[in-house]
Amino acid sequence: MLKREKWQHLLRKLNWTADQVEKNNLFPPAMSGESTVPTAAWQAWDEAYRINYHEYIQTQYKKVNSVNAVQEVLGQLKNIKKIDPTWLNGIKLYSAVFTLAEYAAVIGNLRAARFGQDSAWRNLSLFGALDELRHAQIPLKIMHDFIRWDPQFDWTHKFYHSNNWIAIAGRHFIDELLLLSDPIEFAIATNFVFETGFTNLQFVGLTAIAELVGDNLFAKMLQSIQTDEMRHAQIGPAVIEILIQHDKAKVQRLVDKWFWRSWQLFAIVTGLSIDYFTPVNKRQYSFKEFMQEWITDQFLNTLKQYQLEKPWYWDFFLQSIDHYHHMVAVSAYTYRASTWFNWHVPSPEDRQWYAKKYPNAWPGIDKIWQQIIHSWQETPPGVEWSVHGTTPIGFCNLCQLVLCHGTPAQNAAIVKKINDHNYIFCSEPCLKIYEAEPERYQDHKDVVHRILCGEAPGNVVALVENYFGLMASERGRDLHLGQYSWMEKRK
Amino acid sequence: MSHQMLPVYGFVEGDALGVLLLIYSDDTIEKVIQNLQQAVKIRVPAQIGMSLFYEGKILDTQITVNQADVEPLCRLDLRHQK
Repeated sequence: MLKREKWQHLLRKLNWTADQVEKNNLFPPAMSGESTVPTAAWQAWDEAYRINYHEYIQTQYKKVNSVNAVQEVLGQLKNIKKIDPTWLNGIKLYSAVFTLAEYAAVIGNLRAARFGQDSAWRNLSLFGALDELRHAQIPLKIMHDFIRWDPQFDWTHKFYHSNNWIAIAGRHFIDELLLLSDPIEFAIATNFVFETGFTNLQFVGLTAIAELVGDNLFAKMLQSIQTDEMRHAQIGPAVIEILIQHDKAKVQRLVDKWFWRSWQLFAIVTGLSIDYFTPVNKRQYSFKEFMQEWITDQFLNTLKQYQLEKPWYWDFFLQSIDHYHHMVAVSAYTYRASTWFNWHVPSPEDRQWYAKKYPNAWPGIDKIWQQIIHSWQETPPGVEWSVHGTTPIGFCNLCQLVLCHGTPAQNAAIVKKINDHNYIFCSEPCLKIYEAEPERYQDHKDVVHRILCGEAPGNVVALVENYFGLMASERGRDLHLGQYSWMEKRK
Repeated sequence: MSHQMLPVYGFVEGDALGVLLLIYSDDTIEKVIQNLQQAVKIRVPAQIGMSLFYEGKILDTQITVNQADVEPLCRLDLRHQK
């Protein structure tokens, strides 16, 4: 029998010379991606894993069995009920935002499996598509069992099919990143920025915390997914190595754009999970510290390796590591009925921890929490709407997220007149991304425009119930119904 | 005097987000300030001595939205004078 190394290169490198069709018909720029890279140059495309289908199936079979075995032992309701309910809200957030996004990533990978301009790239993308299918199936299967106990877990599947404000923002991001991108943009945005840079926060940071919290099922699921991510993330650097020799400006532009867009998603999902939904006695590192290790150190080194510059908004980004997820958290608490997971008011221990980890940002944020505590002190327990926002809020016309950038002293939102209409952006990077490709974004309606044109109700209760699709049993509430042992009620 | 509804984005110093405020063209700026403070009171207590800024300028509390030439979907900031 031939040894693997004797035939492996033939399997991966099956590029054919097209003599019956034009190159542009075989790889239309609209589908393969516009670039100045000569066709022959793509044939240098390489990555380290060099896996074949037989090996792939063998490895994945073991991984699936391993997750199934853990689920059988730890996935029962009696085990989940033992886990701190605060943590489970992070799981509900994670599962909703990432599960069907993984499913959308199947499409992005399949586009590269057809239109990537080298056979090894196409080959690895096909495995990437199979990976992503598994990444959607695992959480769907695991979370499904919990729905009968807690209907909020239903949002693992329901989320992207709803008009919830976070789902609108999520779709805006996912549609562009995974469904619209050509294989070049997909490789840089998804495989390089998203998977090489940011997913370490999830798969290393959050996994470690899950183990500490005692959620070994979630930790196992993340670990299993991570091994796939490490492999197909290699598509990104392999594309960059070739593209950068011919069109460095394009690489830089895509890195700048997708770093910002990815950052906002991770700040909300991972930032809240680490700093708010991890019980304070289990928090070893803050989200900021994870960001410093994995992003400002490691990812920056990776950029240097390719002689790429830091994104142009780097100073603003560093400031937002301190503030953004805290601004979102305190805002979202006051609109918690618009989410499908529960919230809590940070305890005195929590607030002490935040003050230590975020000495610059926390004093301003803490004042807002103090006002919320003041409201609860004057409200009977469980009267949720008395301590809840009733005025509709603004959303960024690019990222579709709440206007929470900057600091409490100076919000960073920018209004810009475009074609005689005012558009609002949560930050300068979002404005610049919009201005660079207005044709991509101009027809998308944010929640405010949906309200103003009568598509969505302006009344917050009706908006939550009829437009965001949150039934009373699914709506986010205060985990303790406003009744905290440390909170003295006023008479 | 016209009575047209105007959606604007309101930002209050000390708050964490921007809200959508529906105001009327014949509302006085004083009324807009009160509405904005009411909209965010769950996060920021109403304070005296704050001014409403539009495009970098303080708006006189006695004039109307119409007189202030406030545009739909503009940014209004309620903050202390620096």
